[in-house]
Amino acid sequence: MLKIKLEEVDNVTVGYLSGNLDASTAPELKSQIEKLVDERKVDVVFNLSDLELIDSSGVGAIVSLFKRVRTLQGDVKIAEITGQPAEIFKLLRLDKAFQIFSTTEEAISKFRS
Amino acid sequence: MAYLLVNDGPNKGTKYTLEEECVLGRSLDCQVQIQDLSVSRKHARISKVSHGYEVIDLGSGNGTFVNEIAVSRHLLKDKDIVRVSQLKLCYYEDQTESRIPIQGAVTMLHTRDSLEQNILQALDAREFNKDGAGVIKSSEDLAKASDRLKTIYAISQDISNILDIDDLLTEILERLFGEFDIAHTGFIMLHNDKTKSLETRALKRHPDYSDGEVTVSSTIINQVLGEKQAVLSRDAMADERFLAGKSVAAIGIRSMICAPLLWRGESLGVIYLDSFLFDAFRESDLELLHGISGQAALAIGNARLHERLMKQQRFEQDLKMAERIQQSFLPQKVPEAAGFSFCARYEPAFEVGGDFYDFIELPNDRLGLVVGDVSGKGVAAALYMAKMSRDLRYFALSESSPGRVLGWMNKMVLESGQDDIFVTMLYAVLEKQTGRLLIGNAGHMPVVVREPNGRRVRILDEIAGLPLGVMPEAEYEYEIYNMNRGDTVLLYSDGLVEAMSPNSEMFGIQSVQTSMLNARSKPIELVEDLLMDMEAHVSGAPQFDDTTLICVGRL
Repeated sequence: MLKIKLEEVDNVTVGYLSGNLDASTAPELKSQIEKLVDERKVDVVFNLSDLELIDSSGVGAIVSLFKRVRTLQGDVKIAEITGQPAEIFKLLRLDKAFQIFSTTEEAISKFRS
Repeated sequence: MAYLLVNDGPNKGTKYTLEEECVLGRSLDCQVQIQDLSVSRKHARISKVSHGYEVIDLGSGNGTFVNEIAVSRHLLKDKDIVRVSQLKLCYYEDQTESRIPIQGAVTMLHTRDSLEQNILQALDAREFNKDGAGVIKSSEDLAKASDRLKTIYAISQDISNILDIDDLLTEILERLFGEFDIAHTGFIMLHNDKTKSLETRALKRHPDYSDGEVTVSSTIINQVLGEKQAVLSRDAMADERFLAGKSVAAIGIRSMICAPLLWRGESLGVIYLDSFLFDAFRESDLELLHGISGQAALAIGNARLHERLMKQQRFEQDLKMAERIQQSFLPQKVPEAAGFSFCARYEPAFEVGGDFYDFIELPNDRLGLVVGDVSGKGVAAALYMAKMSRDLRYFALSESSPGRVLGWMNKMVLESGQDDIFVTMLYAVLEKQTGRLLIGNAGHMPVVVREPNGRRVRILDEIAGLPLGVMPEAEYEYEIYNMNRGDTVLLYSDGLVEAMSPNSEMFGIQSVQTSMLNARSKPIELVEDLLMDMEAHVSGAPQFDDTTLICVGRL
């Protein structure tokens, strides 16, 4: 099960993901991503505080958004990542690609600066 | 289509479908002709506007009323009553009689209450006798029931061996037309699980009644599917219009019987028969249709199972083939080099996987070692893995630095245009003369080294870059480890570390280290011991990740 809640704060899309982001739920996130890219909403923060599990397909979905918004001068930032997803991000050295913040507000404020 | 319906009076129930324009009046060329002297020759007009219809009074003598208020121009809302003299017409908006295109040759009509099909008989399919005999009250009933059973039995015999669904449905309709000679239209609709809609899969029409489109009331279909009832019905308006002396064919009334196709308690779809003859079907016909539909559903269910089985078999054959092809991309044997010993294992969680490994003989007495993992699973990941292994061989031979090789591989993955694929890869170059190991890491599990005689186990994770295919500007370096005699080096994929126990606990890097400390020293033994410990942890729980290992020992 994956729940996706999207909010817009100061022209930044904040996506709250909760549950599991894996091979079976990644397509849901991908379809939301399609919409964001189509609407040129290219500054995105994912709040992962309630994300319990992520697998390589799940990371793939986030990476795919990251790649696409960057070609449109946007960015994806990660906030409040904990538990297994934090381990996976560390293991994959994704901190070298994604800026990771301890609060959503901080992540949003980085888009303004 | 929006329409006007005569609300009361002698023409009650008459329906005027609205198109671009509709004029009401006494004149003969009016679409709604009203023989009433208090009505003007051209009294009012109903015209299509951007979102609906408006009524315009054409300067009539006695006025045009909408809901009893005189109007000169008025946008009509659903169920407004337009009155011209004594004639009251109710306006029905488009959506109240929308036509949902169900796939195939039959159109579903969403009829309004007043036009609803009059359901005369309903048989509860779940309670109805499974043998189709119906309720037996007298010896006459018994004789009829016996005939019915013979018919059902004969049809069942003929259809039970047809495994192609389309052939089967066609045959069922043929047999139904044989039994019901008053039938003019017959069709079978089945649920399409993919499109979540009803699909007309077979249609048969009497040659004398094959003009015009075939329509069916949604009320009927919904009752049959929802209530799992077989129903016998006719057009509710039929009685009045029939009595008003209009020809049956002209007003298009139909008698119909319709039964659900129930299989293992689920509705697969419906069988439907209708006739332009008034009251063409009797209750006994309904019972017969119902009996036949039970046998038909059984045959359809079996044909579906057969279809699925065939698909499944084809799919399994494809997978076996893919597995063989994938195996052909993996090294057929481990390399041989003086002073070194090698061992490799590849255990996909499913038939094919996204892990891969390779040994690449390089110039100047060097050997490339690689373990990679393509994100995602199944055939797509396996195909991508095949591409990776080919690309890597090319760059490994043309570049000496593991960092630069990974840099090229990163470009290849980015340029493949598969946005959601990334690859973790550990690529190391072993200099066989010196024992130097140059290790490049793109987001992959770090190399673990066991020093001689199990003295110490170390993780080499000083440098590691992003997985391949995340960022074009990613840079890859490499670190150097000097393999001493007695050292054993392990390259592996995350399937080893993330192997899950029945309580969903990971094997973990700590356990890998502990296991390696206590393992026997030859690479082949070390791998055996390590996998044994991993399997003890897993204790039979299903695994979803491939496990790949390369172990190199310096003698």
